[in-house]
Amino acid sequence: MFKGMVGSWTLVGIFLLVGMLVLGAFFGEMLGGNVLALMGAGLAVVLGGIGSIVGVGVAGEKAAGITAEEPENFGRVLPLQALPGTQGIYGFLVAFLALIKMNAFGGVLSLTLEQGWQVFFACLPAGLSGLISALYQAKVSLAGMDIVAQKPEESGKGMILSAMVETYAVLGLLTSILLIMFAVKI
Amino acid sequence: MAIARMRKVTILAYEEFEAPLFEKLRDTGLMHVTKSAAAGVAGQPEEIDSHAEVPEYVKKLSQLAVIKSYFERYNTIKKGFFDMFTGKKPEISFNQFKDAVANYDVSEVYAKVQEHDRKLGDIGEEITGLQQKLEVLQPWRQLDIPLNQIGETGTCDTCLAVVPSAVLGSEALTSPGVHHKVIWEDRGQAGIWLAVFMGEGPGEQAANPLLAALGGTRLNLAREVEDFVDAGLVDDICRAMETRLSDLHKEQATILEKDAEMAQGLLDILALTDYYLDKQNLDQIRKEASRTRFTLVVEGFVKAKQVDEFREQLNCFKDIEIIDEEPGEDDDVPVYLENHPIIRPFEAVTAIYGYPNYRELDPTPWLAPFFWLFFGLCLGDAVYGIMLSLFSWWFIKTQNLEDDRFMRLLMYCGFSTILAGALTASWFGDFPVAFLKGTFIERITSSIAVLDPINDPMTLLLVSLAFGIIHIWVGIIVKMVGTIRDGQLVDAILDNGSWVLFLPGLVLWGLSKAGVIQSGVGLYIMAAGAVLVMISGARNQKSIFMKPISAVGKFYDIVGYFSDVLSYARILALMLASAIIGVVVNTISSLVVDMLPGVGWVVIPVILAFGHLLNLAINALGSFVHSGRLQYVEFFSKFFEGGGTPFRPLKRVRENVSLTD
Repeated sequence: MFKGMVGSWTLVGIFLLVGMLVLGAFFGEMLGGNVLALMGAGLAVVLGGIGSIVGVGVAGEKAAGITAEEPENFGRVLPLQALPGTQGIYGFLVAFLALIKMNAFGGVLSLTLEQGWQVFFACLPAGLSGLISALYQAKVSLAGMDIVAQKPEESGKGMILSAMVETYAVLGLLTSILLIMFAVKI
Repeated sequence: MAIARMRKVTILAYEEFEAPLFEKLRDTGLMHVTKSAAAGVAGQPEEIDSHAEVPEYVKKLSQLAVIKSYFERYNTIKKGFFDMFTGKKPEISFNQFKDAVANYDVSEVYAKVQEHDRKLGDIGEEITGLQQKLEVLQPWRQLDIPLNQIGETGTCDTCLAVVPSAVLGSEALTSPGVHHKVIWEDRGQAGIWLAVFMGEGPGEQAANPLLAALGGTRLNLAREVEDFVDAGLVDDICRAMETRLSDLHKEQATILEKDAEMAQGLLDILALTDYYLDKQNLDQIRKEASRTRFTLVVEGFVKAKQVDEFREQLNCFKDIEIIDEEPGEDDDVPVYLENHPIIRPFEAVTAIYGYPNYRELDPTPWLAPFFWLFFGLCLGDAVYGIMLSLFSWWFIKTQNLEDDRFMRLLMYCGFSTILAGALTASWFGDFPVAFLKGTFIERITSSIAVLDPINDPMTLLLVSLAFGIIHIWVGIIVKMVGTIRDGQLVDAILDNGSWVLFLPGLVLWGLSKAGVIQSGVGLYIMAAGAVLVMISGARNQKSIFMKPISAVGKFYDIVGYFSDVLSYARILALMLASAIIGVVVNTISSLVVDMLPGVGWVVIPVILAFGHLLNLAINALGSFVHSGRLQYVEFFSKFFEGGGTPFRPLKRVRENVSLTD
């Protein structure tokens, strides 16, 4: 299960998550609610970010290869490369919302432990679904580039196939947004 | 209607007209040629002759490919930034095209290119070789003995060697019978001229044992420099080599100059490539026709309204018979979408999924309003909408596109984005509130807003889902219309009409339960629909005992519709994403003002421009693919069969250049 690009990076993400959880569980009292909430916000960015970095990276390599063969296909492979990039932005978005919710730009933070955990878990849906969906979306994008290479005029189909995976990142994002805005009581 | 009517056309002609007939067909560009049903059946079987002459275009095309890639090193055709996206082809005038076909000698240029390529390769090799040799010789330039005189004399063995500097003063080198001279010293190594007395005996290479003992190596520079050794002194040899090098560089420059000049003909090469590709294409199309001993049968399709024009155009052939008829049931009729100019851009959305088959409805007019609306809602920012529309408009005006449907689509979608943005008070995110608080702009923008997606996402979620229900409902209606058109009225009313009644009934009933509306009419609509749904479920069940189960089981379809509707939550999510990222960009820039007092205002425009452009680009892409997906997965699954072949009339090949008058 944890083999290949998707598996190994998922594993990295899970290690990060478990590490943070363990840290929070054992040292929560010491760290306090603020730190837990910030860990959650950071995790959303980092998990989504890993997915998008790896995804856009591998997709970019192949896109460059195809552009080298047929420079006029650049415009077709570019959106395919960009598609796995949205998850990183979703993670960033969730983190920013969490910071706004915590009033991080307004003054002194003072969250209780419980509030900290609430923010932490509210950030997870976007982060985790972003990580895994970006990796798989990148794989679909790579395959979509084969469509571009062989039948450039059909490249729109590759985009749609790739977007199917993103649905779940969008749902994760939506859940995190709703959780932070309405479920987290600060 | 939306799918153009086609006529099946069969042309019978004498075989001798074959070449001119196909050229004429190509020039008219009206006929989609298909494989003749009679091909290979009627008349003689195709002769397979392995010794058949390879057509001229095959050789020309391969030569042209070589020339093209060679010329492209000199890159004489400049491409604009946007051409990478539009695939715009370089333009060539018809006269230049004709001239190129008539006068350009491909074989000669090919031979020249090959020769230059080989020469450049040889010169390059020689230059590197000389440079390496020069590097080796450089330290020895002070040597005042000609290289060809170093070697064994009658009594002495003289040579050049490299030894560690440490041994220079050692006894071995200063002992009697040994004479040496240091030529250079560098980084612990020294180059020496060494003479060792051999005595009377035939001691070949007497210096070797000495060198081995010192840890040095004997050099044979004379062998290294081969052709130049007669020049004598190392310094002279180096000079001769340098002269040769500069000659070579000059020769290289001349060839490159000639090539650059020749590469000005790249446009001609591209045009010729198209010319021969066209020949190849015609040749392949000709194989689709069937023939008897004297006649030729060409089959295909022409748009019904162009048939008269088509006949007119082919009038120039005297002995030719054109039959046009209604396509039969089994014919794979090519599809050409013909829509109102307002709807036409949305054909691009349909085309991504694939064409409808000839006998069903064109989904384009049905999906157009939804795609337009969903895109606008997903992007949902008035200024982004303005930018998108203006950019697409400018792009269409300036870029001279072959097919501007996609850019027009973006332009239209910009309008819906403006609408959605204005209604949700999103102008560059919350720009009016963040930077223009209290001004009339802020008052205007907030007064036209009806909804705040960030603070009231629930309402927007309901709106999104409501659009989803309507979308799916329309999908079922389209299916019903299609079924009625095929003459199956009962099927249409029971299988589709039942849901057309039931779904809105269910929604109305739910709303009245929730107290949103007072009328109880929803219950009756739902009940009527439910009865029809049950009849539709039961009527195809053979067993009388199973009928009730099938009838109730039909309601299981609701689960499918329910999950379809939930998928529309993405509209809310994408709208929130673009709105919030807009807010984030604004927030970051106002934070910068606080962090960098004074200079902050200088940085703000940069952050704003970069942030909002990025947001626009990423979310426009997202809005496009997700609005598309809602059409393909949720909407099309209700009625669309697809699998149509696009109408591609035989035309002149224009792969590399576009012709101007």
